[in-house]
Amino acid sequence: MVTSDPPNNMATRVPFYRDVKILAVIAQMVFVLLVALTIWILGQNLSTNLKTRNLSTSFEFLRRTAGFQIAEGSAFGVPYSSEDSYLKAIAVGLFNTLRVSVLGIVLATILGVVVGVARLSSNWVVNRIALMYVEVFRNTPLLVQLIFWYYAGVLTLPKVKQALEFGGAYLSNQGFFMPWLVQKPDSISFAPVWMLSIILAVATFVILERRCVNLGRNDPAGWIAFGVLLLVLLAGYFTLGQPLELDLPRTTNFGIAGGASLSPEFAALLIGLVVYTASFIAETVRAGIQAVNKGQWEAARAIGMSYSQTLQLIVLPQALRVIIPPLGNQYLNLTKNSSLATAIGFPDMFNVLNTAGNQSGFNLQTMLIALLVYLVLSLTISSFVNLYNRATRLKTR
Amino acid sequence: MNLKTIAIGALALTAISASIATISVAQTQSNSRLDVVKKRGKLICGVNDKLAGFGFLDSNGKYSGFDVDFCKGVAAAVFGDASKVDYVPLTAAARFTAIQSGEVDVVFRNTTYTSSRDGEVGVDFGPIVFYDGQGVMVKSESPAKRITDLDGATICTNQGTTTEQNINDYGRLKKKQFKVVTYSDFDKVMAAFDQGRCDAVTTDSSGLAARRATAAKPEAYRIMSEIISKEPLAPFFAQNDSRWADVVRWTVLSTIYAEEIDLNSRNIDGAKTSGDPVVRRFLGLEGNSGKGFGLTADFAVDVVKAIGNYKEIYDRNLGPKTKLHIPRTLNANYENGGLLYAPPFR
Repeated sequence: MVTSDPPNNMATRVPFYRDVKILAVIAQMVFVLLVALTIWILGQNLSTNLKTRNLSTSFEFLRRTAGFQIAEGSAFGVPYSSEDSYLKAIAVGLFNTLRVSVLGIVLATILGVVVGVARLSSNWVVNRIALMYVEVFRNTPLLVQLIFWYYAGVLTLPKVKQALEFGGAYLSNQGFFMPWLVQKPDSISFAPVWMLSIILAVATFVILERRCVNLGRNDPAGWIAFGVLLLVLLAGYFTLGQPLELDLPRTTNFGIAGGASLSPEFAALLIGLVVYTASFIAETVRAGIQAVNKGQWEAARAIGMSYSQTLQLIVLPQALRVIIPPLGNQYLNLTKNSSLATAIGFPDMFNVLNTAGNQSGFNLQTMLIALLVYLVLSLTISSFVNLYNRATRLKTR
Repeated sequence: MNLKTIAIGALALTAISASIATISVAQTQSNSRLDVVKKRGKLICGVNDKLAGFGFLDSNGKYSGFDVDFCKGVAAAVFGDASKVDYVPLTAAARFTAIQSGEVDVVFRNTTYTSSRDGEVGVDFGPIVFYDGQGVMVKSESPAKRITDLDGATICTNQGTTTEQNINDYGRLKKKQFKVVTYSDFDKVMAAFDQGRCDAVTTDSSGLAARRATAAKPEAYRIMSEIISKEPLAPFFAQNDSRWADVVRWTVLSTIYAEEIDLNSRNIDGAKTSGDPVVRRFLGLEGNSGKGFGLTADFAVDVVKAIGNYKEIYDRNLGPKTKLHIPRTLNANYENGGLLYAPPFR
């Protein structure tokens, strides 16, 4: 400590205006005050300008009737119609954004890891193809890619009148329709059985995996868990008195109705996001693998492990520590990039908010909502990534 | 951190916040857009760049169309020179924000005048320049004869327009289900329509006519005869600026009035010798109406000389000699059974 008072002599004590500790506190207070003042002035400026232009800052419009349709999606399972409120319309948009983001993250990770590993393959053809893939998709704008996938990709599928049919499923440029299980009217809800079966399957998998690690055995934990899933579903189906029935797609005057469907917009957006993001993930994975010491490869070879065993058990787990933080960034990018959906007509949250803003005139509010929701989504993803990062990092004792 | 740096830092921050404060004061002072435009020496006009006949950017980088001509008219009224315009292409979704943020002075972009836009969006509308209505276009081979035949069909349109709501309202009224898919602009809508993603497209019927006329094979499309909504198209500008509103309003009205009194770009110079007081007032030879708007007394002469009267503008862009060939019907002069009627120049 610098400021130790000399004893017995109060006269030589440092005056407060030269005391570094006090000055530091004052400086911080002044700084905070100025920041607060700036924010206040900006806020005042905004609200006066809104007032002179007669623009409201209230969010009351969210309860009004939306009056526009949304081509696909539901408010987290609750069906939406144009007579519902703006709030519900935005919920449908959010649901669509989450749908494409979650699926996109999973698929991009798988594709990215495969391509990343292929980049390091000793097979010349494989690693050149992987390199070409990465360079092409990493170095062209995503918006252009999306428009390509949509207009030159899915929309070139056969027209709906000439839809390809296979096993009750139809593929055309108005979407993919397949038979799907739906709840019979007036029957007991099957949803709890779904949830129970998933929980039990995951629990089985975790317990078996731990046992395998502890005992050094190699049981097929995945298959056993899958068996549990099927068993619970079947048991539930018959105990509840067969509450499900098969809904088959059928052709109508215009297009196809019924069953489960995948729209061309969703497909193009998903393909675009996955292919684009995977090219970045591939590079991250390649760098991560190359960051693992060569000695690890040699040691694994020395104890007789095959290439794939070395990769799975020795190299990838160590590479994970390098890969995870940049991987998290790619997940964030994918989620935020999903807002380009509006270019190809997919009703994601940004698209719905744009429409809502235009219909109601509350553009400022809808933009604020968009900012806030994407912020929350991003923070949630990065906190999950951080948790996982903490779990996998090198533990030092 | 020593005292000196703290002092300098504090001073700097005070200066910054003080300047922010002055900016906010400056912005709150009401200043007519007319003064801003005059000072700049150019009009910034928001237009469509993709709708043939109304606002279209051609391959030579030149804008043309019905809406574009009115932009020129406003420039002629303010500067006496129709070329003093900078065009800003706007999407349907961005057009209101462009006015709210002050990016453009006025927007002539086939925009429907509605109560909620006037009341809540923070813009004011000028006089209606074109009476339109929403229609539906299908492929020629489509089995649908009427809009209600499209039950269960996919109808595409562009985002941020009144058309989304209209087609939905119509479906509700007629108890029909349409699947509506919206794209960010109408070029994308047409691309999806051509590829068979949509069974029909919907927008203002003038827009449909323009799209059909400029298509590679116009006969491949059929516009249904029903009109499902009222779409009066009007220019708009920032709210609560009546001086600027007057300039835009009377520019449009002067073209309509010129048609009523049979003045056009060719005969207007010769009309200066006319003894008719109505003509003389319009030309600014008597009375002083232009001065009241902050313009010259003869601003109407500049407008009509530059872009012609309403009929000339219409014929040049939408009339029988053009590919669009939209009949004037509602857009005819009131004496010919239309709705165009200008208040007198007096």
